[in-house]
Amino acid sequence: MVREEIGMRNLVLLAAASLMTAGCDGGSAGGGKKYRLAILPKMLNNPVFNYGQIAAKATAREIEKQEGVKVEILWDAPPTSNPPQQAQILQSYADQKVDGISVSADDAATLKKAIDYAAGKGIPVMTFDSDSPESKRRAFFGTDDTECGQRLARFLGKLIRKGKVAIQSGTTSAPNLQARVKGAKDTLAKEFPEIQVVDVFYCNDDLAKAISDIASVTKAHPDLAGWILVGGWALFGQKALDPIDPAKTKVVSCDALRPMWPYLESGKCQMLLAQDLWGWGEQSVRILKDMADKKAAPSGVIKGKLEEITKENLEAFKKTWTERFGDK
Amino acid sequence: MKVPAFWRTREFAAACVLAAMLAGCEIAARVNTGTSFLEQVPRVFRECSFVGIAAIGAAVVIVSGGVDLSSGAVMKLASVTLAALYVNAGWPAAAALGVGLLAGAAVGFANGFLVGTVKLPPFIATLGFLSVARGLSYWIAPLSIPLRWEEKGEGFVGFPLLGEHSFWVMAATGVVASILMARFSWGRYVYAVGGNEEAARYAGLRVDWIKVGVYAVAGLFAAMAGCALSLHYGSANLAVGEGYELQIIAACAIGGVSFAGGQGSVAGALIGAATLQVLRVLLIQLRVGEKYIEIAYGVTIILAVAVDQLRQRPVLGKWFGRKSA
Repeated sequence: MVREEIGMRNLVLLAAASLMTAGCDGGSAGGGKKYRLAILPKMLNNPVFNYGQIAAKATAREIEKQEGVKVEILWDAPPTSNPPQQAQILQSYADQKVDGISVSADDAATLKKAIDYAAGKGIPVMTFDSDSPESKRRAFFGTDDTECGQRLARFLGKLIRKGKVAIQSGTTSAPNLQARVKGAKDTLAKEFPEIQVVDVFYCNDDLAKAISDIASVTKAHPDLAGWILVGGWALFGQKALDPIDPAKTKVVSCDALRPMWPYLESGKCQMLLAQDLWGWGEQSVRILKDMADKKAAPSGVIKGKLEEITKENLEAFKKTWTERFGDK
Repeated sequence: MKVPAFWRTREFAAACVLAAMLAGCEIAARVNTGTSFLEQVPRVFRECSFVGIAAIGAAVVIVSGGVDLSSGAVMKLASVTLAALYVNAGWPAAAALGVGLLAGAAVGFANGFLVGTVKLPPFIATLGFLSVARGLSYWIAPLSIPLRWEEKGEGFVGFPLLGEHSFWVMAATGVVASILMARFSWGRYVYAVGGNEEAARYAGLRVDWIKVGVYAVAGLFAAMAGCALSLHYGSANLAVGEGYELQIIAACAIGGVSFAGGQGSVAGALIGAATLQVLRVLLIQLRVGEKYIEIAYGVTIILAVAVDQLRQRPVLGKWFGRKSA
């Protein structure tokens, strides 16, 4: 069924591509050069990626205005986590000879072959959010996930100094989450020897399970001094921290999306570590366009900014966010 | 039809397992934390209600001899439809909720039409609509929509009912569905279709339209579950309901709803949903490592289905309370 769906989509895309090629004289439109950039998040069902989509489209419009060219963003991914399907989608865009591909690799090894296939066809490929370092991708833009885990742990460690800490993660297989968990655990072990990690609890990206686990684990460990959420699943909903007594238990979390802000305001959460979601889209478009133009483009690993948001600097962060993403 | 003694039914066995788990939670809480687990019971039962509400519809489908793989995606579709209309489009709460529920029922109706009249295998039809519902959800709401109805002082009773009292909604609709299945002709027709479809057809039952109704009911219950989850947690997004179809089917299996069709009950499915939730809480209370929790989940589901299979065998079935036809 899924294969049929992909096949149908590819047929439609191929037909559209053929029409464009026939009607637009090698991809030129209205005299200006046209760039077709494929940006492929891990999956469609994670709303976080759509902030990257907003940034990519805004950047494309900005370049169009400044340079008088046309930049088309092709945003595509499997509906849910499915690395082989993501690899097939990437290969289909390589076959259409797009001008560049930026992909958040759902599985580094599975995507390597597809990335190498596209690179072999001369298409510039970069990764964002989640890397495939052994592939022939030319650049990676995203969070240093080990650093992300380290900073979450360090912030919490300085707050509590000793006691029990629980960690919440999403899925067991995601390499970026593994790196965050490892970064957090290693930092606690090295810099805060009096802190003991109870366990890592995986919510499988499920909001209800994430919130339920916070309640159950907090009740099962009444002396729990802290929570490290390496992703913000639980805080996308309301009441996630109702069982938490901020005087006893401190909470830090990766991500700082709009629904998470009330937790900072209420004092239930002490720090949100914002990833550079804007950069996922903006850098993908700018770097790929430069690569397509054969200009000097950044290569290798480009670290996205990690910003610690607390009650004190929340208002400034809100302002920047609203300028970029509106009320989303 | 010979009615088995209550204590030999699968529902009774499942309820005993659930009671034992709750007792285990109480002991673990007392030993480990010096507190009573009772204060957590309302929360845990409310948490199980999201899978439980959807499992009511799923149980009816499985009793009819089918399966619904689209329930998780329907939860998502109803949730984002409700939020998009209420928050983004500014619709009144009742209208937004009504359309959300109707969206689920419509997907269920379409599933039933394909299974009942076009004769597609349930697995294929509902798998197709799993994809359709996911796609529609992405089209409706690619970004998370905060559903903060409490802050707006929403007066419509449907929101607090589903958002704050979902356990009681589950219990009430479960009782109604149980009565419908056990005491009304429609319920008996569903059992007849699941038990022997050909015989039901020869007996003059409109098997195709019974199936349409069964799937539409399942869609409606899945939609209700999705709306309840989003209203409770105050967020509608594409992750809602993801993978829930497996939990919903597992709840039915644990509660003794037979995948051979024609056997099982709504009450069993609800006990199954509660068992799944309490099992996780018990393992956390016992401070079992996270990796063992996943294994325990899988083993519980396998054991439940294995017992169901054993019940089909003449000798062992005697000891596992097999219902005789």
